[in-house]
Amino acid sequence: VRVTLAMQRMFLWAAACGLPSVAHAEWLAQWNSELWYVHREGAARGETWRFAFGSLQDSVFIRRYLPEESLYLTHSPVGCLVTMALLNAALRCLALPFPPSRGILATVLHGHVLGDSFQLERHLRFSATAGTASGTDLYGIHCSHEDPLRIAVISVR
Amino acid sequence: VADIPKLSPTTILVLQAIANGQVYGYGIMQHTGLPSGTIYPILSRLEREDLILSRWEKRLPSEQDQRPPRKYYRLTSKAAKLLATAEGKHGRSERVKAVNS
Repeated sequence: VRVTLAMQRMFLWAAACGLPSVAHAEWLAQWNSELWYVHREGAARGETWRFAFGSLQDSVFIRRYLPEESLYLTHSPVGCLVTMALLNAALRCLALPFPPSRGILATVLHGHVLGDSFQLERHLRFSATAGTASGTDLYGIHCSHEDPLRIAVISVR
Repeated sequence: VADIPKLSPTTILVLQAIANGQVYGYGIMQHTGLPSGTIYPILSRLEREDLILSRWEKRLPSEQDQRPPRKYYRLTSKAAKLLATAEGKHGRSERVKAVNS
């Protein structure tokens, strides 16, 4: 129950990120409070999640109602940077279960496979480039049976 | 008469729930059977239209209980009149049936 409640609180926090800064704190306090009572009354897990998901609808409604206000996490340059960093971290976490995504991340971070030649699953051979030609489209592709996590950035001509 | 807001069946249901003593969001949900994603936006709108008032429970009692404070709602006199008018016009039970169906 504690884990579920913690995850639902994280969901509420995420839903609150779209709110105007003036409404953020009270909105979050109310939803957290109500969620606590939903759990206390012994609601089934599915019901508690349905309750939590409703917060997104409420957040969107309030966002429409107060469009003139800045978003809570983007009302300052620092807030904007924090938001981008959090989104980045969240997306990386979401991508981790998928091996190709891990490979893409590794490639983006290290770039050590650029310039090599790779055998594709469909037995087509491509030469990886670092995008030296201007206007070249770069793609991350799954390259090898032997090393399924290995991804190359190649140019498609 | 022109500035009297029109009340949707769902809104009437929420107002009826508050009038019947359901004073917080989850209680209104249970009373009406409507989901949270419907109830809370309606409560926000009703508050902005001065049809309901909200107040946070004082900290002290809830801290003693080890529970978070709740936000309570009550009808304004304007809402009570509107609700009475709506119920008189359409009939309370039919209205509830219409929404539930």
